[in-house]
Amino acid sequence: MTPLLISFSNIHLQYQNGTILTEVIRGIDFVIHQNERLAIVGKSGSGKTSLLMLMAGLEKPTSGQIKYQDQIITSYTEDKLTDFRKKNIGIVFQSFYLIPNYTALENVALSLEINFQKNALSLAKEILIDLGLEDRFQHFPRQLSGGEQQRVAIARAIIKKPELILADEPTGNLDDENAQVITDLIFSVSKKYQKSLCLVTHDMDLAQRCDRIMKIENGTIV
Amino acid sequence: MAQLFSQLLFIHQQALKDLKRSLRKKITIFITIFISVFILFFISTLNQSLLKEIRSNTKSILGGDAEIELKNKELSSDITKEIKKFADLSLNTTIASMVANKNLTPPQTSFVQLRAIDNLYPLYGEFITTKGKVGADFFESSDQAIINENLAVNLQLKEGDRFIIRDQSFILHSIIQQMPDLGASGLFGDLVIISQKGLASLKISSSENFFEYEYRVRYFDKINDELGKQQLQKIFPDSDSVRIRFPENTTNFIQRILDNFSNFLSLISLAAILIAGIGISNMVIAYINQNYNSIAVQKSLGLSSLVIQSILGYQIFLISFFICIFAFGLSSLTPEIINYLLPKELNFSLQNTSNFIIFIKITSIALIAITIFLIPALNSIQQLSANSLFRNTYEFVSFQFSPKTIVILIGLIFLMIGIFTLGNSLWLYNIIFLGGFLITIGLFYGLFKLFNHFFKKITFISNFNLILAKRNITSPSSIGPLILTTLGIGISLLLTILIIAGSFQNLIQKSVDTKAPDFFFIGIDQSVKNDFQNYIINEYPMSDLALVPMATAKIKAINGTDPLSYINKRNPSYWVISSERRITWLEQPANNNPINEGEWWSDNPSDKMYISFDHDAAKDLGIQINDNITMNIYGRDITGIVKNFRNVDYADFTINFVMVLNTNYAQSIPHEYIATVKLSKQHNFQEYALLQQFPNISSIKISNYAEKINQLLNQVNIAVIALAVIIIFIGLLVISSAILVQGKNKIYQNLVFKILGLNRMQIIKTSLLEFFILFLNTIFLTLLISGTASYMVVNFIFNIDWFLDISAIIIVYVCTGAFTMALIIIDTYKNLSPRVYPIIRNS
Repeated sequence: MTPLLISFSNIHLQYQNGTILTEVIRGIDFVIHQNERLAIVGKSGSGKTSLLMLMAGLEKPTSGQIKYQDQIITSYTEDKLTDFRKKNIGIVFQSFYLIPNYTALENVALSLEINFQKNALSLAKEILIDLGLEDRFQHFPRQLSGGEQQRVAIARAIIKKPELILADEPTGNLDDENAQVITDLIFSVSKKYQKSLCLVTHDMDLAQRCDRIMKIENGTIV
Repeated sequence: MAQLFSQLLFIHQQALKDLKRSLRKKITIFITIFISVFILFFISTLNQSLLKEIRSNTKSILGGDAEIELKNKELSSDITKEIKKFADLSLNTTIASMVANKNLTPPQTSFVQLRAIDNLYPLYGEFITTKGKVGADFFESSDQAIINENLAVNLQLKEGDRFIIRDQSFILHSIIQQMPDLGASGLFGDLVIISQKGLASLKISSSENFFEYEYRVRYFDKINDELGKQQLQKIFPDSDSVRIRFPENTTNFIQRILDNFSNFLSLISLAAILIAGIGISNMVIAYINQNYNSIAVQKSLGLSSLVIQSILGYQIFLISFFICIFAFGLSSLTPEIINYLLPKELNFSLQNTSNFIIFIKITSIALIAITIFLIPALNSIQQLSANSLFRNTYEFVSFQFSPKTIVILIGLIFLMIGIFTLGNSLWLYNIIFLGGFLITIGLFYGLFKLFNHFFKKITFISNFNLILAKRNITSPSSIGPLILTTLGIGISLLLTILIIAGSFQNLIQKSVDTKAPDFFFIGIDQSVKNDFQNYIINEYPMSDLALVPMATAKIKAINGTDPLSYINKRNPSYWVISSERRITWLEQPANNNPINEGEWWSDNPSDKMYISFDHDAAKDLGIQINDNITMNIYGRDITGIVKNFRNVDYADFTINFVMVLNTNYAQSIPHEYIATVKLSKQHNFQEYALLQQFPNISSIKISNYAEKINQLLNQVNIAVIALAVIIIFIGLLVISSAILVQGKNKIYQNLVFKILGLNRMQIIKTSLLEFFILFLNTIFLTLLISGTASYMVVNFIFNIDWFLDISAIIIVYVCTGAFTMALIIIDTYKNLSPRVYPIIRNS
């Protein structure tokens, strides 16, 4: 068995919306191992994306403990969590989240530049060429198709070779052909670099390609 | 018809709905429109009210229906009798004099205008002192005086105190509270009022050079103004020794100054409206880009570009129109506010002059200015296509200028300038200013693009924050051009004004520090000339004394023709020919007035008058070497020949005359002397001792007057600087609004940064760096533009040395930089830590 990468222990997450208190995650326990591909499936509003946010350190649980390797990240400050994310996590969203006034090349290079890595632009070019976007370096996101934007987003997520790749419905906005290309890409990258992958989807076919499937319903694992 | 109505109703309903939703985001821009329009209404109302007040008080300002002014000579009893047949006649006698309070240690002196009045004063208006209306006791007394408040403060005098006028002791009767014809007396100096009996007790010789008899005339009720004027002109058909002024002559000058000044302030206000217009166009472009998909959907549903443009344009027009109404209503309170603020001594009571024409004029100007900036922004909607919905890609829209648009814009610019200059004699000046202003906007925009072009090419930057700052600045949606244009114009204007004002102040200060004497002495009679000279030499050895004769002359003809018949009043040297000038005569040209054309006379005939003329004045008046100039000197017309031109610098505070004559010819002219002294460092001039020794000589401390000139310049500058600061403020509001409009994009960008692992400190660092680079650009461009503009104005219009006051410039940059930076940080701070989950869920 490969070592543990991240573990959730009795995690609860609540949101206060005015006077309404919504419990999104209700005492979840699970682990992801290194080089493991985990699919999280469930209906809309079941808490899949919330779990991803917690893994990325973008949200703090209301209670419970999240451990990344041997560090308890739930006790981290906001800045420390940001630093943690910078070093360890790569995220791919359904809606891409590219910076609109940056070119494709700049969007990808940004991920390395944040880590003060030299030759960020040339590395970004290499990965974009790998992903078949060699003629799209200077294009702004609005000038790219959905599939191309998602490839740029993937390039941005994997260029720094993070230990954990989080993908939130990465093919949700794409047609079948593009969805297939993107899915292949995510899995091949994860395998090639032996990085863990946590994939949130409601597409069972896609989930089947993972090592393990975890189903969420009403904020609990079923 | 019904279809058109439905269309208009639809536009109206949609616009109101949209406005309701987005009013909060647009409010900053609407504030900028309000401020700039309000200032324009304010200035216009104030100008109209002041002019109305002046026109209705012309007689009070002059002191009568007419004023008859004579130097050194009273009206004959025959003429007096003649005038008294149809009018009351009041005599005011004025002379320069010294006053002192010897009870202080050391005794304090002051140079004043001494005015003796009779019991008919004032013929118009009211003369009120701290004792109320001045009664008969004052006119019967020969040792009572009324003074202005400033003099009372300086000499520490209160009612009943004794003080010295020349060599006589007077009792302070009261202090002036209100006086109808205060005129310029209060501007530069202090004023002492005594009775005619008091003047007689001083035994002043009427031959003193600054002795003037001013008669105020008030026609009897049955005589109308025109008839009275004709009667006076009959009594004084063409006299050189008498100057008659009617109310219209007095106020024309004030009206012209007011008109010019208010026109200048209005131009700056219009500049503020144009900057607000830039803000509007930016807001519209940002709005269109942010609502790209909604607009594309509207287009796909069948709405034409024109309808979408109309919905947006209608909102802005509607709000702007209501803003104009509100600003107009508020500006009608201007006269009340000014009445409250004006010193009571001036006896001004401004009336509300707001009228429908002012409202229509300024509202039209504001709406046209807004339209000029709105058209290219609204036209950008045409670039937006519903196709993008299918392709899921889109392009940022930008200002669109088609040939048709350009023609319309040029037409609107001319229309705006036309309405602005309607009925204004300064139309050419206005066109130059507004043209220059619009070119400057273009220049700022163009130079930013040029900077961007080169900045983009820089690839060796390794600092991460700098890389991000560079990307933000050079991105198509950067607010760089907006910061540079709006802030740049305000700063350029402020710096230009400061540099011009600084050049003037430097000129004065330099003169005071180097060339200028410490004291001026006037009223030195021939009989005391030698005693005075000896007194100064003995009491203040090593000091530099200059003593020259002085007489009065008026130019009657140049080469046989009256110059007033062909020289325009706008000629910069009109003052030389318009009234009497002081003349002197010298053996050799003065060191500070070198000859720059012709030669100093080698012979010095006693039967021929040679004239040395001020070079610049000669050029303005078209006078050549060897021209004949006829002067009236104490009633005699004498013709002399112009022999040379001198370079005269009136700003150096030394003795300067337009005309200098040859000594052998001039020495027989009745004259007195004028002197200056530059003290050696160890001396402290004792003015009271001089007054005791020579009671008829007045001493004027140059540094006091230089300070007063500076104060006057500062007061004029304050109004202009205040407006320039308001322009900067409007620029800041425009920037703030642009940042607010961009808020959604910024939150989004910061969200992505956060996801990728960029912390708040780095985002702040990047924002500051971005601002720093843009502000460096602003500094460079504003220095270039204000430096060039001020250099041209100072050198080519005022002909003085250009001076850069570094400290003032640094203060401007530090203040505007700090304000803008604070604004950017405050505006962006709330976008620094977006909560990821809600945004992603609502994406």
